[in-house]
Amino acid sequence: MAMTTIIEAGSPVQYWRKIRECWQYRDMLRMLSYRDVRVRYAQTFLGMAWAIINPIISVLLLYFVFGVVVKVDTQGVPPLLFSMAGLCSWNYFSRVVGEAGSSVIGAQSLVKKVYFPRLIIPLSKSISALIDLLIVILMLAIMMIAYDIPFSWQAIMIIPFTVMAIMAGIAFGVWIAALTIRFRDFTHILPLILRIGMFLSPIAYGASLVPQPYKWAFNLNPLTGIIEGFRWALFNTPLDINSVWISLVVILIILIGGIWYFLRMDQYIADII
Amino acid sequence: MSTAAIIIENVSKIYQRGKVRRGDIRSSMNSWWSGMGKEKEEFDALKDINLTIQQGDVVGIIGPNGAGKSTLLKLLSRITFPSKGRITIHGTLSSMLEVGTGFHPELTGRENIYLNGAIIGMKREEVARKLDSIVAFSGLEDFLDTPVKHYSSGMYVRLAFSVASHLEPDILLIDEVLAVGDQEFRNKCLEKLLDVSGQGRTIIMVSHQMSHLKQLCNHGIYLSGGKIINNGPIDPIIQEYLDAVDKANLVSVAERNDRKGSGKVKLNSIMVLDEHQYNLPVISAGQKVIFRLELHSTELESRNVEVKIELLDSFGHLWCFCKNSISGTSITMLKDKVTIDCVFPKFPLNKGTYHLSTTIFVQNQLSDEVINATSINVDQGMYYETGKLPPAHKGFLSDYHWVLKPD
Repeated sequence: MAMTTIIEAGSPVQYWRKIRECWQYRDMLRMLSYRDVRVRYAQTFLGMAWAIINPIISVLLLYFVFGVVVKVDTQGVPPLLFSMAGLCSWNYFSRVVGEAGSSVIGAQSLVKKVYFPRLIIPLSKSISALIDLLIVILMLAIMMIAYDIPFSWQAIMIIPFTVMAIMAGIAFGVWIAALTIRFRDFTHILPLILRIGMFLSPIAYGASLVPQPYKWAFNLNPLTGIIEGFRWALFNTPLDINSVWISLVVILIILIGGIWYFLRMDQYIADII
Repeated sequence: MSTAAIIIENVSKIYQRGKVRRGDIRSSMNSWWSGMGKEKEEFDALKDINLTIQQGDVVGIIGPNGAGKSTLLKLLSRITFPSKGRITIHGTLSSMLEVGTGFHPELTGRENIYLNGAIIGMKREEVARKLDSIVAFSGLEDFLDTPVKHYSSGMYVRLAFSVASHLEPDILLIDEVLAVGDQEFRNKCLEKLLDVSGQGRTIIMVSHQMSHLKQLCNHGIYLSGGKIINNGPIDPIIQEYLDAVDKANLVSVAERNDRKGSGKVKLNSIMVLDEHQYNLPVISAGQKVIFRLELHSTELESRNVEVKIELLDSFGHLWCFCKNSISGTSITMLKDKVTIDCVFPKFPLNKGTYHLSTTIFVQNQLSDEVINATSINVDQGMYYETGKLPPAHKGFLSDYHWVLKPD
């Protein structure tokens, strides 16, 4: 017969094989993402409307605090649009991390009954949340037309920054998912981390406002480069290209580390959840 | 010439009870500080298993609860990983440890076919190609685009089974799921799955239903306490297992002397049987169960004999009080030995272990009382069409149904 599988206790974890296996299970990945999207909008009364209402409320809140009360410098961009552009990648990121965190535990019934590469559970969250990102970007585009802001070729650059946001979502999502399996405390820690992240990311204020002595630490936040990059692509605000590179390196390190940690734990998951 | 489909060498699975590896950060740090492992409580679900399963065999795994049957299936299906040893699998392997894994009530029948198919390892094109056949098999053509939440439990199970029946692995693992679904449809699925076994498909199944296994399997593996007790052709293996169950249950009753009463009529033996008169080591909730009591009388004629069976759980709560004079059967013994059956068409107790006590009265006088004459184990079963049961210790099973009144 063509295929032989050997399961041996104590054998080293075959990282490449497990990653290849995720590709072999891409149909399942697709169906899990599809299910999430379908279910999320089929179940609630207002359905799709929630995907629009949520970011609108967040944006209005940010606009009120940072644009009306504090009046931060928005580098010539209308404050509402400034916050919105900052919010779209953050919203996506926090959704992925929030859902991926508890995803494996939430899929207990699957994990205990069928074999598949467990990594695709958190991965599916990074795909299903793309719909939220898309909605906010569409809303942003409508607002830009309403504000009469011209689109330039530069807008196409949101694509690489979106890819970075996906990588960041997966990187943190996989870490949190793995840690939550092992330490249930993370279900309590996660909202705290996300709240801290929200204030320490340049969503409604520009990174340029951060004082020099803190700048290096601020740049270590991988969302900094992504959020600033989104705004640069759409409104041509000044972009510190170094912060983008730093973000990318930080994301890659966290991503590789997260996948490594998750795969190392892979074979025990069914036993401990 | 037969070739091996699965080779299991020195495989053990050790579960760690207690808080190692799981739980909160504090206890994890504590155990790290206190030198790890002190609080570890280990238990071997499987101990040093060696086994070769030939290609094309239909293998039944039997054994009491906690013997390691499910663990073995989980190891083979790679859901969990062995602690020691090595497993070699030749060919593709799928497992049906549950029907309808991943089904979502909000999705339509069609969407669930794709979802469930993908989860149990079918490619998208494969599902698309087999879609018509799956739908025809389930007989649910008209409900394909209805959300599954509007399905009856029977329809739900049919759809799930239809998808699973279209799997085409070289090796298929089946865990007790056969207990689910209406019998006719279940047999149809089995036929489809077994149809190919002549062409080399290897099937490994776990079941408490000896009559099923006898009918389907050619090879048996008897597991107990995490070890293989014996392994060979199915019939002698089932016999060996049932004998062991008998030995544990039967012998003791006649020899028990911690009994009360005059002893005019005494309980000689008690057996728990299924509808085919096979010994039932484990009862599936909702199946037909026969308690066969053999009574022994010291007198030639005993009139007005009353027999009472009581089923109590391990907390001593009484769940069942069955007496022939209540249900309306009178017993007269005209010889010294009489066999009497107490028949439950649909066994109504929830998952768990129960102790059976018997009391016999003759002419309203206590004749014989045996506390804990035997113990019975009840496991998952088809009391309800869904195959689901209330949580353990949450009441008995009752033949109710819900009716949604039209607006």
